[in-house]
Amino acid sequence: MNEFALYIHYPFCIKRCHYCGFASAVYNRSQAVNYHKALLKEIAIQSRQQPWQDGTLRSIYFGGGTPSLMSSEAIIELLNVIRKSFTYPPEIEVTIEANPGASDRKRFNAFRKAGINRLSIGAQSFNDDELKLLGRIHSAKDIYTAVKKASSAGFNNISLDLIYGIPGQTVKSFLISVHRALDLNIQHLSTYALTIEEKTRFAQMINYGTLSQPDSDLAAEQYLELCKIMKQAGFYHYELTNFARPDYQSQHNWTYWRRIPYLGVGTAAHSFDGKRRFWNPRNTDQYIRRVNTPENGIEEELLTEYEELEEKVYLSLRTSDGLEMEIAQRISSSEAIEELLTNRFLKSRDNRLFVPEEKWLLLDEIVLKLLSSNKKF
Amino acid sequence: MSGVKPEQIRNFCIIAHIDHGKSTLADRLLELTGLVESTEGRPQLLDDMDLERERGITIKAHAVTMDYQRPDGNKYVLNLIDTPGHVDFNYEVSRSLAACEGAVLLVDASQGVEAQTIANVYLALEYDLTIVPVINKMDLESARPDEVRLQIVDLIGCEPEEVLEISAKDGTGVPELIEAVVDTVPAPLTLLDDPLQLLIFDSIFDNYRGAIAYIRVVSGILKPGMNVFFHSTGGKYLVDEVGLLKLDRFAAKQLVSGEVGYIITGSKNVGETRVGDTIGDVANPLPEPLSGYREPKPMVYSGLFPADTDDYESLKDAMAKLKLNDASLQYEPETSGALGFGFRSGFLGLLHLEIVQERLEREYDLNLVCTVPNVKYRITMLSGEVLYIDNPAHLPPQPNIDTVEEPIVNAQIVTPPDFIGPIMQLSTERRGIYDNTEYLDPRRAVLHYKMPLAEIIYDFYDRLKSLSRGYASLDYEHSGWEITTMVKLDILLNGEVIDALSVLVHADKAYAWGRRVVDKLSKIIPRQMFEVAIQAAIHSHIIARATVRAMRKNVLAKCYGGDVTRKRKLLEKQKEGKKRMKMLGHVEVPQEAFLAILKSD
Repeated sequence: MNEFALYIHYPFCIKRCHYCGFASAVYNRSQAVNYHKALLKEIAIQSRQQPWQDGTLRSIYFGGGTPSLMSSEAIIELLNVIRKSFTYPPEIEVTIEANPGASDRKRFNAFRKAGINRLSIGAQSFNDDELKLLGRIHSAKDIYTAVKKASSAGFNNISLDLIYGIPGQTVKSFLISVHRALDLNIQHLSTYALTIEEKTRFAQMINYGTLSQPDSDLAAEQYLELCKIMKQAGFYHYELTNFARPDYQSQHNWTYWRRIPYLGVGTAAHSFDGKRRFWNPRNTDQYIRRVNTPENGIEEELLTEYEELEEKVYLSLRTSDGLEMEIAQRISSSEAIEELLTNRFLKSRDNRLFVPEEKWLLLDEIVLKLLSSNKKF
Repeated sequence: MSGVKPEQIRNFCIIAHIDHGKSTLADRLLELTGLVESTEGRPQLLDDMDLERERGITIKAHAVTMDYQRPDGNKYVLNLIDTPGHVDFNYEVSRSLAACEGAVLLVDASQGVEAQTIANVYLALEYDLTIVPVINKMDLESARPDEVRLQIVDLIGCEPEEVLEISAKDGTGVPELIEAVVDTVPAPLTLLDDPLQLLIFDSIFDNYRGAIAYIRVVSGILKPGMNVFFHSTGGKYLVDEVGLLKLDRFAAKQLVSGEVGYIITGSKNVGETRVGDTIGDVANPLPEPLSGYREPKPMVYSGLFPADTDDYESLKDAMAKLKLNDASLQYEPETSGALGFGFRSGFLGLLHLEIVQERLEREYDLNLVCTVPNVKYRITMLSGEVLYIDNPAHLPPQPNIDTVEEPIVNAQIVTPPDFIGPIMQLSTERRGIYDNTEYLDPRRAVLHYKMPLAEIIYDFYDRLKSLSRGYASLDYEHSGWEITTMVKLDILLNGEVIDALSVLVHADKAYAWGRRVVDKLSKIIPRQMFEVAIQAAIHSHIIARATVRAMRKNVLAKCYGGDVTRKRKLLEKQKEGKKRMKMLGHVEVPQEAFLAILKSD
């Protein structure tokens, strides 16, 4: 093994968003201090293990939570340890996620100086009502300010996140957000259809009847319009949820879709060594304890040959790479592939299968068709 | 057996509505007579099948023999015969009652008398059983014994002070109840010197012993080694073993007139040991069997198919095994274009169908689809040939048919007078022909109708229950055939006829049926990758249509921190969900669709 990516999770937020089902918690100073120590320790331990020890880093990503809440000293210390522990080329992509409501110039300057060269800003929407419904801590105006601060700190690779399919959102209000994002001269855009995760505020609201279920037809319409606008703006739709200007596709993102190994450190972080997937505890206190008593074992799964194929199918078809025809033929019946091609849910080029952009939102359905067509499995 | 004399025997059953505490009372009786020490941890001993415990109904009859010593030292044998409790099994109930001299009428102190209870009380009175009236659940705060006592007095015409009050749950009053059974239920007639006659009230299949019949010795003495014969089939067998039904079988030297127990002969299947049949002595036969026997006769037919066509062989095995235990189940192989290989099966009624389906799924781990049930039609061809059709697919071409006849039943609906109006309306909707109304007493009327069986099998019983707030009850018996105008209604999915959804339906009802099925399917069939057109057609003439719009989004976009595992698990879950779907033509239809289109909204 040669290349792998590094993901560092920072599980703290100022406040939990209403849709967020991920491992995050409200910031707590003493826990954050212990957490920082645990991260340093885990990186040191992992860097002495295979396959990471002999590998080369291809990207580094600080995700969360809200990693932009980390002090510049903490980031610098982490990056120093990473530098000492791993080898990587000088032009490596180093991303940090930032919340527009927790972005100050001093920190951005420090991040930039420490070697972070890509910023992923969780804008989510440019409509203040929608932001409020989502439970975000910032306004639309904060997004402009954050991007401006980032630019003046020297960031020239900026990505924004937007959410669509929000109850009450219209096609128009979403497109306004898309245009506002483009007006900021960003290099990359990630867009997510809202999904209601268990145990979130939104799930509770739907239960009480104070929020309606996201409308999948609305989301589909928003998505199709989004695709048009992004094409006109010169962005390449390289993965279901991601658009980039030429040369600005996220190296880190590709790691996941191309099944390149990655090491995840921190609460709930997932790792993949090429065969085995393993992950840390979802609870931060448990995670800290685990790092300090590594003999306690970890949760993992060793992929069967079939599961590996299965993963290749649904991960490859998410991307503009598409899926090798040979893999599709191994896992599904030729009738199923033929039927999907005839009905234009798939197209083929150079011995690869692709989901056409306008059908990408049906990906799971298409994958299920492929996976259930072979009686052998 | 143990030298018991008929005058020491009490044969009785318990008549109760669902949840009125029959099984709990049975548990107390078993404890008090010392048959078990405590039923704690395994309550409701008499309901064998999980299905019975869950549904709170008894599907098969059971029996248990208990020894009881009175405070004065006199010894008795109490035979409790448990009865099934649904109109589908009315015949089986009547056979169990015929084996008893008394019935404990058990009524919930807060719920009061319910319809099912009434129907069974009348049945019991028809067999001259002595009724021991009991109010149960006196421990409840909501108990209203005074009211309930009046209902009981009204129902059976007893004296108010004869009604016992108990709590089967905590045991209060149960010893007094046993005393009352011994005091009031008559001992069986002493017919020791008469030729042997045994009434079969149930039979089970045992993997090692073959068919085991549960019997009441009506007359004579039964001993192992005798040669006996079954009246309905003429089959002759040597008696291998006789005995009592304690918690397990308990072999005995003999069973005498009045006793309840079991008999094992060389008979290999329960098709021979038919409920209601009479067993006689080959050496000393009586020419006439006991009265009341009926051939097991399916009323309702449906196709049973494995959801996964690969499971056909397993279904075949399972049906054969279930049939050993259930003589009323009939089936033959059937092939459907949509569903593949399966079995056309005959059932006593819809509940029986549901039970068979559930037992096959649970006990044999199968996943089944069952098609819309229908009755059997008698078809006279222009050529004069007569056919019996129980499968829409076998209907001959219309031009060759002279007449179609459908089975007609005499239906009796027992109801408080308040509900007569709505019940008459319902019965008329169901093509019922009104005959007359009788009043059993001022609070209970019996409506007599002639009605096509086809109209009863769907949801008539459920509708009757709901519009009478549970009070009305139904009984019916087959009364003959009548000419009808019946059509075959086809359902098409994206232009393709789905044979498994075709039904035979009365011409006047075809439009309504078509509309209803199309609407139901449009709600049940999930959105798919393409639009689905659902149509109902008679002779390729479309009478109803609905559309399921194409699905536009099904993707889990977010992939938090590289958690690919979660994605695969969610996908696996969706894949499992797809397995509950049946491909009909190119359309995925949930299996539940087949049963759901039967139920009214």
